[in-house]
Amino acid sequence: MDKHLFQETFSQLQASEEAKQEVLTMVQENRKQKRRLTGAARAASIAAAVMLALGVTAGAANAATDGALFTILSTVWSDEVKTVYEDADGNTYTAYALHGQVEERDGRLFLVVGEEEIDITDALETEGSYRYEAERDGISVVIEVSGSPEEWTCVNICVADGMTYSSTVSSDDELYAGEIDVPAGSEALLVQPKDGRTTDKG
Amino acid sequence: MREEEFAKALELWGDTVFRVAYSYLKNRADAEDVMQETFLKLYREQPAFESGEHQRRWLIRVAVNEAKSLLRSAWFRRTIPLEERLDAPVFDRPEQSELFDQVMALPKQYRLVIYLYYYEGYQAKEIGQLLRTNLSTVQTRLMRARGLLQKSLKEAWSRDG
Repeated sequence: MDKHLFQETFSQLQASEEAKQEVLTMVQENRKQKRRLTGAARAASIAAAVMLALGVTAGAANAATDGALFTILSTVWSDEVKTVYEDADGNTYTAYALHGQVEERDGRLFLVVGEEEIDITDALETEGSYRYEAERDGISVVIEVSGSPEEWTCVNICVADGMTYSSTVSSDDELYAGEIDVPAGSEALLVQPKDGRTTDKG
Repeated sequence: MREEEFAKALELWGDTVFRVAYSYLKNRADAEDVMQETFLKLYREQPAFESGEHQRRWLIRVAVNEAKSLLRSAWFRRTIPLEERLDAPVFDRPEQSELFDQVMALPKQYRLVIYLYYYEGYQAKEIGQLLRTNLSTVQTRLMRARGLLQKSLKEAWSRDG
């Protein structure tokens, strides 16, 4: 491997001045702002707060790869609490905000739910589990993290509009087994979680 | 942390953090989000650093964690074929473009170690400490990544004549 060529090549990969200036502006204003969101990052940000049940088989489902199921969806409604998607056949899917994610930072484990960050390292080390419950705008959520700071499983259970949604993520999960090519100009893809996590509509 | 110190850190390490994130996420918008989030953490948490290198390593670790979090929580992904990616740099020479494309085609755990080794100049042991991974795992990933790159670049260059 030509190290010089590698460095020549990757030195050209730089963050935009706009992105850097935004951070400086945020710091200068000394207040927390929402992240700048464009395109796929906006979809991912919505997804960060999403719990979506995939028990419904969409008429427009296509391209099953390694057991994954893909449906092309368009956003028809979005607010702070929920986002409604529609597929080509008019089937609608509702995704509710209030979702926990586990983050590892400098040897500590945090449960992040919306704006809240909870250090759960000690709870996992001493008791082997941490339970979080909350309710907001008619949506209730129970998040249970079990295991150890190194190997953990996080179960999110959300109750909204009379339905129960659950998902499970573990420290070993990879969201995607590989890259999937789709035609250019496609709408946002809804990707069924891979083996190792379950999503059930109860 | 004073604003001047923060601005200096951003100038010194902003692109490093962005490239680490990009090597993980392969997407400019997401990588810039991670870059911003990483530096906001730096400003909010204001850890004490023993040296500039200590600060660089902290930023890289945070960037990797932020990128992983984004991947874990991102149930939606809009993908476009590699050749239609519009946010990649425009390279002066075809071998640069080919190298970039082939590195980006590697599995993400290989892309990151290759970047940290060949660009940031870290040794395998240091990469293991940065990524909290065993040395043997890093060495295996480096070896496999090199093998994949040698094969794909050889094919690409023979195809291009």
